[in-house]
Amino acid sequence: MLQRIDARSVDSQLTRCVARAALEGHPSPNFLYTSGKPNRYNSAGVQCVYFAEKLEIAVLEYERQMAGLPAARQPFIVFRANVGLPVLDLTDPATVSALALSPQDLYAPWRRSTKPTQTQLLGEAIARQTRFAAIRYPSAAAKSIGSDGCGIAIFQNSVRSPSFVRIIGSTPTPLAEWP
Amino acid sequence: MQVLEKTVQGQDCEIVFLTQAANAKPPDSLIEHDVRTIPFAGARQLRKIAPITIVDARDPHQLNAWKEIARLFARKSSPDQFHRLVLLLAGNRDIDPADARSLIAPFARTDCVEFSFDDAIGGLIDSIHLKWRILAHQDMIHADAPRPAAPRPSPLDGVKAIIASSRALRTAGGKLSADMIAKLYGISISKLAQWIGRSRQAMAKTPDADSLQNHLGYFERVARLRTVTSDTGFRKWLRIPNAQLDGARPLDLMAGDERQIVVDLVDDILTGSPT
Repeated sequence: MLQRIDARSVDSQLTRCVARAALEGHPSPNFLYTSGKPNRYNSAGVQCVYFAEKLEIAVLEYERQMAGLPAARQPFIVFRANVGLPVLDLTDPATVSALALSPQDLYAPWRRSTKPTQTQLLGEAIARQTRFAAIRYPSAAAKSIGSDGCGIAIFQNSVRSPSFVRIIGSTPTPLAEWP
Repeated sequence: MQVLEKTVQGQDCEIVFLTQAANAKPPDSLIEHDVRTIPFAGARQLRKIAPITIVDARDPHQLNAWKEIARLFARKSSPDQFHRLVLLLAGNRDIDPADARSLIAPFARTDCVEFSFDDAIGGLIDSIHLKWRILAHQDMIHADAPRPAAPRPSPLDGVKAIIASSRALRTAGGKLSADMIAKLYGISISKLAQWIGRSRQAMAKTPDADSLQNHLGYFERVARLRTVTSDTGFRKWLRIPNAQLDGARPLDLMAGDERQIVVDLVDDILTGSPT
């Protein structure tokens, strides 16, 4: 099904927020670390990283994770990545329909699912090819407050030159990069 | 055979009967056993897998439900604990071998699954119960079993603040201590022992045993949340239903076999991972 869908080119700056305490004192944090931990668009063992398209969405995602903890008001660190990637755009209803997904599938619970969800299966398919390097998807955190916003899941094995992901540092040399 | 001992060394050999209809009764041949009946839909809510689980597989139209339960149990079962899934296929002697294979396939060990083509299942359950009793008496259920895998690596493993937060859970020698973890989680050492399939006596004797370290690793990883909250805030978070866990309380998943899910959630919280 992926063959029938055109890749959309994304050349932009993506954002992520991390609790300050989680990075403080790290000798050399790897901003593109992947553990193969499952997430909405990848099942266990599929290596990818997640970013938000805009700072306000990254903050929303961060605060949603912190819900119920006083930490939501504690300092956090923002880091950004310059990217040039061919993406599968799930904010396009035609793409969702072509993949035989329903809009509800994009927000379905996944953490306790006993089998891969529709979105995780899609991520597995993306990780096995290189025409798409990432999935652009509607943010569940934004939806939870009745807003719009997007996240990007980037698949390490699918990022091939000239596509790139570069974590912005204080010099022109990125702090981390793919490929 | 006489009714078998229900409890050995503080451990319970619970028997669960999973069935489609909530009001269905276990076969009469189990009358001597204390059996808890649970509808299929309730299987996911089980905090822990019973040593013996019987799946009512008499209605062939429920094949997909049996498969779902087999996958769920395979995922939740722990290699160092005694679990048997008994598929009661009475009346379904002609089950397609491919379907039978798909019921066993999710399990790492095929001896975790038994089939019964007869409603007279009492003898089979007695046999399984006897094995459980012998192993429990010899403390073999977990003693000779391979250790569980350690939690997945995390981007936070090398962070100073994280390492510092777990120091209070370790002995002077650097090993995780069951005593300290039980205290932080606000549970008794007996309960922690029960959760990870050890006897209270063994755990109290050597709370930092090598054989416990992988088990305790999951508890340490979840406790990393204390880098952004107090011990009290952490205990409260453990006991509040969490929307990201389908409304389950993190502590209930730690008690059962879904610890890695809570570990992953804490990683996502600390790293702000969008979902």
